[in-house]
Parts: sequence; structure tokens; C-alpha cells
Amino acid sequence: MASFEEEFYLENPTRWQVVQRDMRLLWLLARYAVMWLTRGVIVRKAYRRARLSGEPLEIEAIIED
Amino acid sequence: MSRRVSGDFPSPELPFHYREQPRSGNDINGLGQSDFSPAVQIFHGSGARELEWRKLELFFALINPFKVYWLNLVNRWMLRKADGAVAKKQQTVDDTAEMAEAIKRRAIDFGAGTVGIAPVTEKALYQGHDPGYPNAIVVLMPMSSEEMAFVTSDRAGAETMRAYMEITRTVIKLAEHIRSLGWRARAYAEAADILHIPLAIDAGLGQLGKHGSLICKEFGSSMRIATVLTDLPLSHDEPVDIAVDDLCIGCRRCTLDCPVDAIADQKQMVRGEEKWYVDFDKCAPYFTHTVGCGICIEVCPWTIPGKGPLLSEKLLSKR
Repeated sequence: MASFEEEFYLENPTRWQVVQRDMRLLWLLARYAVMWLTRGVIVRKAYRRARLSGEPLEIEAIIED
Repeated sequence: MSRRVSGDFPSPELPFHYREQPRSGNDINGLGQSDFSPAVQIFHGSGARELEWRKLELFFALINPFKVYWLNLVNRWMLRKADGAVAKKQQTVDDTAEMAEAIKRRAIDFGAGTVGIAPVTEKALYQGHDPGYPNAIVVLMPMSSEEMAFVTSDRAGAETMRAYMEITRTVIKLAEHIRSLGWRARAYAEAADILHIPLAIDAGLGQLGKHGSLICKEFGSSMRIATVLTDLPLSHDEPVDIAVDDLCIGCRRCTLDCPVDAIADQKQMVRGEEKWYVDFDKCAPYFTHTVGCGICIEVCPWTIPGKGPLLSEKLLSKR
């Protein structure tokens, strides 16, 4: 899988390549933002519960591949 | 604001664990390995690559407070300008030392705390990633000692992200400037394909400390590092000896204050080099739990504002 740099760094890009890259990056960042607001809520709640209860949280139970 | 004292940090008892422990980060890092091999990234892969400890990384990202998470996204958006168009007309470079000085002055104008230049060597590249540039301009950006005194709180996390954003702006401007001279240049900040610390050491900006971070005279370890890789011909700086080892060998501040005992008192063999090493398997989960930790760099005597130059002078005079 490509790294962030390989994915989004462009040397001597055309305008069209810049537009395409910006769209792809915006889409990625929007997905991350939505993830924090959705899946993140579940993760943070489970984490808070684990801290209060003393029952450790299994990473795999809340973060899947 | 006085500095935090030992024992005032979150408990090392972690409220999470892996059901199936991933491959040891110390093995991946080549701990105990006597031959050189390129580094393999384990964590903080900026989200676009499959890493061995990726689940912990995602967990880390999602438990971050919104402000820090949001600043991270903004930073990544800024990084789209890390590379770009190279001017067709190339400025000739007759004197590489003069050009190096001009570039350093420009970096300072753009906001850098301090700057050094080094050749790009294989120890600064991750396995399978060679961007193909000969020179590295390494930039350091200090973090506010007042804000960082609040490690491991969100406040210190926000200051870390502020410094990342500032250094990102600086290296992007520097890379744009070099490209305007007709030479290739690419800015690397935050998570990246390259290892900033070996480049910073080779660029004469400081030395590796016992806590596994760079120590420089001006800012101790309380700073961020970013790099511009370029093919602009530049003379290189030489590594410096500011007597970091002289202090680290006897000082146990970070080893004692690390809640999970991740910092060793002796140097260890890592991928063919005897050096200070932090136990990844102990450090990374606590780093995640505290959403960025930073205890070791903040308790380091070198990090006390204004102390570095005097400390270095005193230690060197004792030799």
C-alpha cells in the first residue's frame, strides 16, 4: 500500500492532476472526520467504560481490519 | 508554571490490550541485530499504509480529542503542497557553501527555529522508500515550554499539533522557494517516508538522547523536526558533539520518570548500530493511553529553557 507521500505528493503536476489529487485527499480527510464522529464515538465510549470499570478493552473488539 | 514532578503521571496500568499481540516492535526495529538493514515503519504511518501496529494507531487516532484530531487533518491538507511545479529556468550554483547559508537564512525567515543540512543516507530511509534526493535540509521548531509542561494532557497535545502545523508551513515554503530556483524539493513533516532524527544528527543539529529523541542545545528535546529533500547542490554540516552522552550515561531522570520503564540505561545494538533505544512494545501502548505522552522529553534536563548551551559547555569542559 502506498504511503501518504507516495499517494498525494506530486512533482510537476498538471492542473488536472492537482484537482484529482485534491479531490482524493479531501475525500480521505472527510472519511477520517466522519470516522471520528461515528466509529470514534463507539471507541471512546468503550474506552471510557474500560477505564471506569477496570475491565481492559480488547483492541480487536473495537478496531477491525 | 513550574515543571511537573515525577509520579504525577497517569498509571501504567492500561485499560486496553491486544487479544493477539502483534509482532514485537522491537523485533521489527531490529533490536539486537548486528547488521544494518533499513528501518520498517510500525506506527504513525499517516494512515495510508498497512502497518504492523495499525490497530493501535487507529485506536490512538480515535481517542484523540477533537481539536488535536482536527488539527492533524488540517496539517495533512496543507501537506498536499509539499511538492509541486519546478521552475523551468534553473539557477546555477557556483558556491554550495554560500547557497547553503542562503537557504538556512531563508528557512529562519520562514519561521524555523534552527536549520542544518545533511546528505541523505540509507539509514534515513524506510525500507522500500527512496524518494531519490541527495540532500536534506532539516528544520527544528521549538514547542512552548509552558504548554508542554502539561504533558500528558490535551493541552500539551494541542501544542504539539500547533508546532507540527508551524513547521509544516515552514518546510512547505522552503520547498516552494527551492523549486522556484529550478531545483527539485519536497517537504516532509509529521508522519513521513523518511526518518528525521538520523538526518538531524548528521546535519549537526544535536545528538540522540537516552530517551530515543533528538537533543539539541537550543531546545533540548521539546521541538518538532521536519525536512526538505532536494537536489539543490548544498554543502553539508558536520555532526556535532554537545556532550549528550556525558550526561545521559549518568542521568536517570527519563528512565525513572517513564511510567512503563521503556527507557534503558545502556545503549543497545539496533540494526548494526550501538545506540540509545526505547522499548517500543512498552512505549507505544502508554503513548496511546496518554494520547501522546511526552514525559521523557519534558523531564529531560536539556529541555529546561536556556539550559542547553551552559550544560553542554560545562560537560565538555569536564572531559
